[in-house]
Amino acid sequence: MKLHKLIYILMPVIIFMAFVWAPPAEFLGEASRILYFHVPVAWVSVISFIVAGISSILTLIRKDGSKDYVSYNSALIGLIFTILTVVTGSIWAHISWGSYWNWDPRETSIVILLLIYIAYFTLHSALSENSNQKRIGSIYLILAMVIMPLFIFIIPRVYPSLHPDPVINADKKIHLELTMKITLFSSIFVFSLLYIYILNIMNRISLIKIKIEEKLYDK
Amino acid sequence: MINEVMLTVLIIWIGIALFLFKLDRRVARLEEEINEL
Repeated sequence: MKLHKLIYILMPVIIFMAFVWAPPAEFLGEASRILYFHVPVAWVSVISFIVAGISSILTLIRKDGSKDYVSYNSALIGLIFTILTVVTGSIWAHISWGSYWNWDPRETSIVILLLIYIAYFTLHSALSENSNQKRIGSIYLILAMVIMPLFIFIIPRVYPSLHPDPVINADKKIHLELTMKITLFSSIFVFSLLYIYILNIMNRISLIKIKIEEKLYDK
Repeated sequence: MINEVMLTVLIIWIGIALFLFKLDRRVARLEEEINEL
């Protein structure tokens, strides 16, 4: 049994830990439990964009573009998880701040990031007939990966924000109780496994498509 | 209320897990068929 298949058992455990084992936060109440899903989903979106960028660098180095599908699939997962980050964040914002959308620096920066990656898929499909599709797509993903820390880590810290202290904050301390900390980091680990599992399935599907095309071409 | 939310999240997860499990099996079967060709 591969490690990433453990998610079938671990995800229900995380759901139980998030809703039963971990206590609600002092001021935020029961709504704070969304933290155990919002932060891991945001983490996976960052990781998948980094993987897409690194994979694009490898595509450019190899020059053959045979593994270009890894970058595409990872960026697609990243896009879906970024949408989930925005959705979970909006629900939390509605409960805490009274409105789904407040144009907070963190909300605005994640939407800009979302648009950057939507533009990648537009570019990718627009270049479907172009022989340089893989190269141009890879360069775009590398640039997006370089720009991403600006929107995720720098802009929300430069401008005043309603958003609570992130896990990596100015004090360099995690302001959470031990049970909450364990639940959060376990959730981040399990969501990372979910990302690996989904990416693995998507890569296998892409490989099947390539093999079918090769066999049809041979005939 | 919190139990209802947990139940909803669990049901959503069961749906996703079933989808992933079936997809994984189908992909494995396809891989075998492709390799046999």
